[in-house]
Amino acid sequence: MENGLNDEFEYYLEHRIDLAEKYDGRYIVIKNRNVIGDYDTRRVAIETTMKTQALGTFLVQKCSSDPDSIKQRFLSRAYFS
Amino acid sequence: MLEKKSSAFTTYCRGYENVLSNLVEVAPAYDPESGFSRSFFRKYRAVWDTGATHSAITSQVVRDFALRATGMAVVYDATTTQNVHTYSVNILLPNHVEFSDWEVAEAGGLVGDEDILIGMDIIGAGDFAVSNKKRTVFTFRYPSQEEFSFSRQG
Repeated sequence: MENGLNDEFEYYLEHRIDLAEKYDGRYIVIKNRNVIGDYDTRRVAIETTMKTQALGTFLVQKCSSDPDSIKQRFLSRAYFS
Repeated sequence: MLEKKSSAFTTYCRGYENVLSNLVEVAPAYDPESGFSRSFFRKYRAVWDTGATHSAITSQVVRDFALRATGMAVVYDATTTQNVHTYSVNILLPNHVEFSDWEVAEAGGLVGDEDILIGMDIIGAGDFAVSNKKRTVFTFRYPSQEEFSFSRQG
């Protein structure tokens, strides 16, 4: 698995509460540990950012102060390791 | 983002099954209204899993389309917790309802021979039922149209 977005995701996890105060409910684009845009929808965030950045080099994240918003649970069929 | 047409499908299994699976189609994310050719879809076997909060694709699907990650999520499976990449895809169900620009996690694999896991993010968007009278049958429709309960039937 590529490691490209780990830094961006760690940045989001570290600053989630602060980011949610400014961007709650919006789709933010993070690259190189900076927020480079915020959008109404995920699709617009991706399509707009792809005009200037290569896909796979930026992270799109719906901003929320809810800690469960970043969690996914697979109780039976999937393994990720 | 979902298309708003209402449609249903029913999968009739050959016998009694303890895994609910059928064929779905997957393509890299695109806008269905853009005129993009559906020839880019590929068919995969999918498992319908109410024990999963979200849908997932295997690393094989990521490789098939050379997908590039658009996000990440914290994923809990039966034994581990880890951060995994997520991808944007379109998922076309047998009822021709298309879940477009859908965020799915990359799973190292699934327990069976499926490559797609349909989780509650899709199942929970419609009505879903399983019966086992003479064989296993499961059916899904989107969007949800009514509240039903077997205990209220006569």
